[in-house]
Amino acid sequence: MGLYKIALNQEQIEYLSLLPEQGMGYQIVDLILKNGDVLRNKIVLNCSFLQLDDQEQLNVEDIDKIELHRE
Amino acid sequence: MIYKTYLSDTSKLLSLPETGMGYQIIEGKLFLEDKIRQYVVYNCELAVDLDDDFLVNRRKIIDKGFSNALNESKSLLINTDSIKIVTGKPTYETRLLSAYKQSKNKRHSGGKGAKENPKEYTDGNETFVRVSAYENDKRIDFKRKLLLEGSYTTTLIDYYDCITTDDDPVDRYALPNDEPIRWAFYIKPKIQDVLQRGIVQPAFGHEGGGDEVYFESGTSDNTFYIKKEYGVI
Repeated sequence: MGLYKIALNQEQIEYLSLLPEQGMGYQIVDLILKNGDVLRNKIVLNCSFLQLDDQEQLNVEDIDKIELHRE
Repeated sequence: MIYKTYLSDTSKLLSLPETGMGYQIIEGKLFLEDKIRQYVVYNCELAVDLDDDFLVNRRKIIDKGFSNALNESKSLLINTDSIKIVTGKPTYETRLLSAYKQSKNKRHSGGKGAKENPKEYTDGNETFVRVSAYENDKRIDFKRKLLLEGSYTTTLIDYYDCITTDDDPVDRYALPNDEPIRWAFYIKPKIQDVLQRGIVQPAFGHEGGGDEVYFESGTSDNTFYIKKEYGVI
């Protein structure tokens, strides 16, 4: 299974910059989509790039909300 | 060295269990040789000598890509019947690589992540380094020259160990990146800045073992002082 990255928009980048990292240069997040779906445990690099599996076809416009993943 | 396995050896390896996800640690005899050698075999087809050059060769595979490494490699002349998975205690195999890396690359074992450890003040003299694939690292406020709240770094000593032992920073700091680390941001916090120290725990299929330092409240103004290309000391 391959991975690809999508660039987040400026508002999302600024929001994530205010939240803590889980490790050097990355955050683990849950995505609440506009269609009501939730994608959990996704990695964001440098507060800017959302890493997705090949099978997850997603545009940045599909994202309603980003939250830090809580165990 | 890096080798590709013969089809017959790949078939044999496919019948043997993995040591870890995607790799096997095997031993066997080369043709016309009595000595038993050990190899790490990736995907049952790309073998790397488990010797002092192992990490250098592993780095080459990462840099070239698996397919290119496979295409460029000589065949491993190993006696198929001699191939065995390195055995021992249940955890021995998976720790073999770890132990090797720990000694060769000055990594730590066990311990706790930084957030699990108590907070302390910096001494105002120690320098910390943040490695990144990105030149415009978003956790650095380049105007105020500081590290943002909730950001991680490593110690300068650990960063130097990573470079001087030719270690893989993605593995050492257990990063999810598929891009190479290109930049290093140097931070010298002030005395009032608070940090937590720990050891990078295994994650994303990486061993970890580097130092990690967490700044829950970030650092003071003018504490970020230089950006260098990764590896330039």
